[in-house]
Amino acid sequence: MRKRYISLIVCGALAASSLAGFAACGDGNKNGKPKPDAGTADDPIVLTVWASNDQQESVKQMCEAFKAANPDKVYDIKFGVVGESDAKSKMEENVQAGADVYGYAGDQTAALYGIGALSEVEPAVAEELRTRTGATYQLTLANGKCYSYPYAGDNGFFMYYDSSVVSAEEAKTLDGVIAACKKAGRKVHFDYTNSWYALGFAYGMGATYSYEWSGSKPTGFTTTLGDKGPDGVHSYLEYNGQMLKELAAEPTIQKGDDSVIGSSLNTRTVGAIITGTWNAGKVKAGFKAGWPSATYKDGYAATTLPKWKSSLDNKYYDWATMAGGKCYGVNSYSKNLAEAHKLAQFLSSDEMQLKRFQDNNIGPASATVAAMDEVQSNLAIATMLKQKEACSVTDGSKPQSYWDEAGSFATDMTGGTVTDLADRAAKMIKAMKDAVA
Amino acid sequence: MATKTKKKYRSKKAVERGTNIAIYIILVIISVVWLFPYLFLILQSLRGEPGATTNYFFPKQWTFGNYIRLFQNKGIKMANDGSTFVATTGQYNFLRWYGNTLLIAIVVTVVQTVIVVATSYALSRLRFRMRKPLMNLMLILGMFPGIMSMTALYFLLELIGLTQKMSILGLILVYVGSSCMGYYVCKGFFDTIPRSLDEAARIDGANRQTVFFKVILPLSKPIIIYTILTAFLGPWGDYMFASLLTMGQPDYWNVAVGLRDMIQRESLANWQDGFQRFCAAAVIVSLPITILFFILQRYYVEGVTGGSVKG
Amino acid sequence: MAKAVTELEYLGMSGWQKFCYRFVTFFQRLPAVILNFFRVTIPGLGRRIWNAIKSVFRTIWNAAAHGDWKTRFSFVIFGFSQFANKQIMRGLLFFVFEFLFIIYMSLFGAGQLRYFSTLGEVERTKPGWGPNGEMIEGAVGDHSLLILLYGLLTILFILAFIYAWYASVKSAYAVQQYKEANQHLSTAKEDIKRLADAQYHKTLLTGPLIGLTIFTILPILFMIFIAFTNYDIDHLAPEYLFTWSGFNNFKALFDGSYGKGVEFGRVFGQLLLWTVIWAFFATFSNYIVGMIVALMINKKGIRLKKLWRTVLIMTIAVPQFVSLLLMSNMLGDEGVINKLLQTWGIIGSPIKFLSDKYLVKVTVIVVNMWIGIPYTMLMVSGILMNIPADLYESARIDGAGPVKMYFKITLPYVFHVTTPYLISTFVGNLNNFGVIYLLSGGGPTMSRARSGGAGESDLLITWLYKLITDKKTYGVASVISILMFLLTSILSLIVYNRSKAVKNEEDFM
Repeated sequence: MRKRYISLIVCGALAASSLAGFAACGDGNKNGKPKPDAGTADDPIVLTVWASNDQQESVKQMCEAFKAANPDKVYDIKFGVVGESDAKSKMEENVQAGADVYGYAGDQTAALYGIGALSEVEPAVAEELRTRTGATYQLTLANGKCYSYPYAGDNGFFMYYDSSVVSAEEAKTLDGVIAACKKAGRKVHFDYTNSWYALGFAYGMGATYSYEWSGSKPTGFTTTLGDKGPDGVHSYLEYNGQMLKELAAEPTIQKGDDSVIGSSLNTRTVGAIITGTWNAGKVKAGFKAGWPSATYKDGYAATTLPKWKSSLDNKYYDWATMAGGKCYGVNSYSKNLAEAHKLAQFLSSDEMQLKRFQDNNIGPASATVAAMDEVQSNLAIATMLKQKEACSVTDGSKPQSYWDEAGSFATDMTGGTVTDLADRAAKMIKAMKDAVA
Repeated sequence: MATKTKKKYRSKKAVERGTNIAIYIILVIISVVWLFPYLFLILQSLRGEPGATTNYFFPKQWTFGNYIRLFQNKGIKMANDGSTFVATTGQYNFLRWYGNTLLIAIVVTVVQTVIVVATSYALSRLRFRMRKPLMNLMLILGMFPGIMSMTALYFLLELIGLTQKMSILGLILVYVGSSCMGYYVCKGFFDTIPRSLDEAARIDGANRQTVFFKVILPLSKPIIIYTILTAFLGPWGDYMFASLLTMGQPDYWNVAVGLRDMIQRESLANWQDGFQRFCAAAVIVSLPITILFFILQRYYVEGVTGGSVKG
Repeated sequence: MAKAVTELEYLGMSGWQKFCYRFVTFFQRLPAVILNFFRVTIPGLGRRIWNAIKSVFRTIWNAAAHGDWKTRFSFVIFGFSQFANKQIMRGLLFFVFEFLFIIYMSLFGAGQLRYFSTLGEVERTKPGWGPNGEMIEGAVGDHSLLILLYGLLTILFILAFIYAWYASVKSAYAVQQYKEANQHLSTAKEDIKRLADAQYHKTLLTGPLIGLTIFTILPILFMIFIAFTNYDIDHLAPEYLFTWSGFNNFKALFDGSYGKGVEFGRVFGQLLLWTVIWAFFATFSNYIVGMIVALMINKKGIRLKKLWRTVLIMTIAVPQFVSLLLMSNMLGDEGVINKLLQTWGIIGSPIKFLSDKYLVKVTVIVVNMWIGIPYTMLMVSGILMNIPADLYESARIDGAGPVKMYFKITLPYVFHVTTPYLISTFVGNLNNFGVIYLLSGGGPTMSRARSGGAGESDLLITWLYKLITDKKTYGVASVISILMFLLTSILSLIVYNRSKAVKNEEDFM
């Protein structure tokens, strides 16, 4: 019997030890420092670049120019099609398999930084970026440091108007525009329930907001929206809410998305449109002489946002746009980090920004390029850049709760259900704060 | 007396005719309601004017241009000065997407049919110890929300290298990998084939494999066609997983990912005919499937009713 | 409360009354059934598993205690005994499996398992720039997610290995016993023959089951294990490590402390209610209206039956996501339908099909009807066409009118045949991600604060998706998945195993 026990134990020990033996060998983890490519012909530096579908041709040419500018190394640049607004979700899927250099929408910086999809820009280069790009530079900041290269700075809104109906003088104030359009039987297009547009009044008065981030998670929200405005009684947000209420009640104002703009341009029933540069072509075609019938005159014009008068204190205030942009990020998991930074810097340089403008009508982030005649001749982009410098608030990283709360604030104010303005305004700020507490 | 019965007979017929007319009206309304969106789709795909949406139903200009541009991978863009011109749609390649999806669908159909039929037969006819527990297990495995499993499958496939350029193979593997869980309908059908046929064959000396191939399968044409049909339909609609596997490589997209991308707001804003081309693409994707379905609808019905419909 | 009815009274009730009676008693009996499930079935299951484990140990003990040297050697080298006793093919198979496993473990598996208990220890160092402008290289840390996944894969392989070990030992011992009793050992040829006959299920099911394990069971285990980690937005791999956190996520779900202001418990309950209501209405609206349509088409006096049926069938063929994207487009506030209604002057301002709190729920059910009725109509049509005509004949002879015939013959017959379909559709609708997500995206976001981004028309599963993609609270999302799974599976198991279709499985043949 004992012999059996012993033999059993021996068998078990044999089996177990063979298993345990393997635990000691083999390290399945792939960690450590990545080894960059050498840059010779048989070990070319492999870089992957993501750009949106429309910019593929243009970016390919830019990369060829980059290769020509760096003849001492051999590059192998691959391309992927990922739009700027998709960059965040694609990176989140698998950041280690993501591109080395990619364009992304400026308000994704915090999220991308949190998952490690952005690597810090060399401080000297960052300083140069700051002086060159002005307001767009704010978008690249995470933890106070610069983490990407801005290349487009034309995301925001301003006002187009039909100069055959609205004069330049009338276009200086919102009530002027409304009156002129009413006289001509036209509408003024302003999507006031859209959370991106809705708070422009408060920000125009000087209110600010900011989010603190810990990685990809928002940890705090500070704002001066709730501070008392010039009349000492109502807060900036209440001014904004009151204005929204009045606009909603004004029959000359129409709201809706781009398709509504499109259809009202087709029938030229609109006299002024608050929107951004992406609709420039449509508006130009819609305000052309002879469209939609011979009696119509040429009227393509654009200007910075008009001043608006608040009924609370009968004073005029400025109107601010959200100022966004696009940046090139360098993936911190890139195998060829230094080269990727070089490429990103090249792609966001002034020459490339000019080329991007020429190819795809993308407004530059660099102030130098923006001042060029060629860029200034594009009315929409010139107006947008002017508005950005004149009156804007950074369209930086925000959690979804910001959009949700602002949107529901706008919907409530314009729905006519709010009786207590101060209460509703305070609720929005509190909700935004609670969402990230 | 005779007049009385005549009257009763006539009024009954009148009532029946009245009901029939009412039913016809309802059926016409139903047909219109059901076909309305597809009519909209087809009309939009033939619309010539630029712009995404309109406030009228029938196009003002009719054209096949959207289809032509779809196949040429071109679209109509608006220049900075308001004029329109035809430009390539960048990396979009509809025919390639269609080809990818067709390839995936064909391979999946073949493999999945084999797996489903084999599993159904085993669970229906063969008796082994783990049969009932296995059926219960497969029932509840299907109840897990599959969202996180996509992440797991993605990394598994990445381990073997079946993502990006090899994503077609990866997708096929994932689709057929779990297809044995869909045995339910097929097994129901097999259950209705009388066991006496099996027994007769076994008495004649056939082993179970022969019974399967020579007795059961010939009788199962309806359910096999049903299985083929449902297996074929599957891959056309998978957006989430396909987009995950083919990160940023439009050449390897399937039609679902491609269509989804075409109807994004930015795509519609950039192209004057974006929506129309989307509708054209949707029509092209739906047409062969519709025809296939139309031809094989009898088998589909037989399958769904679990074989209780027998000649 | 329905009182107990005697057998005679039951037979005497009309079809409709029977239906109501069975419906009410079903819910009356439900608590007892669920209790029975927990008190009898699960312990029964547990007992069976325990017995199986006991027999496994007994076999191993016997093999070790009574086996000869060949059997004992098989403990270490699989297939040795079979090989030595001329069962070459079997022995070879066992050995090859052991060999492959050893290779896998030494090259890959063991390394993954080493960190499984901590899910990674080496943190990531970010690349950056030093004070003198020099570049600091980063170092990739451990990837907690991959450690978990590959570790699970390895554990599965180890389990398979243990099973193979057990099978090899058992078979080795059996070989020895056969030899001692001078019984015939099956040769390779005989084995193959058996695989085509008595063991045919093994041939048929091995491939599919392996696929099932890797592509379904492994991801599910992965998801279950995530529920016990702290993987969330603060711990996003590969930038950060995450590790085991026990039952923290479960606790947080129920006491509302998790998620910084998201009342998970309340939202879960609210969405659960809507999910059940949705599943109920979605299933039965499709079923009843589909049946009505099928009855209408099938009625004797109606012509062009095939035409009507074809019109509806065509809508099945269009891929569902196309239909849903289209409908979502058309029903928007600025969509075609609103535009047309406004142009025709029927309404002043757009109807908020998808953006009003209550209307969106109705819209979603109606659109689901639009998608689903062709299926149910088709199915019921098929059944109707095959109800034996003599049933109707005899009823007519007995003087039954059309209405009575529908309720006493048609309805019960159709209902009986489609009960399994109804059950599986109901359960399927509980998890119907596509319709809700593509159509309304979860609907207007709940205006009540601290709702974690849940929408008015969100099902649990679409909210789960939002939690994962927007808020990245993977841990809690997994817990919710597990809860959902427990609810639906227990329900299904009970109903499925008691349903007539399964009970009468043998009768069918």
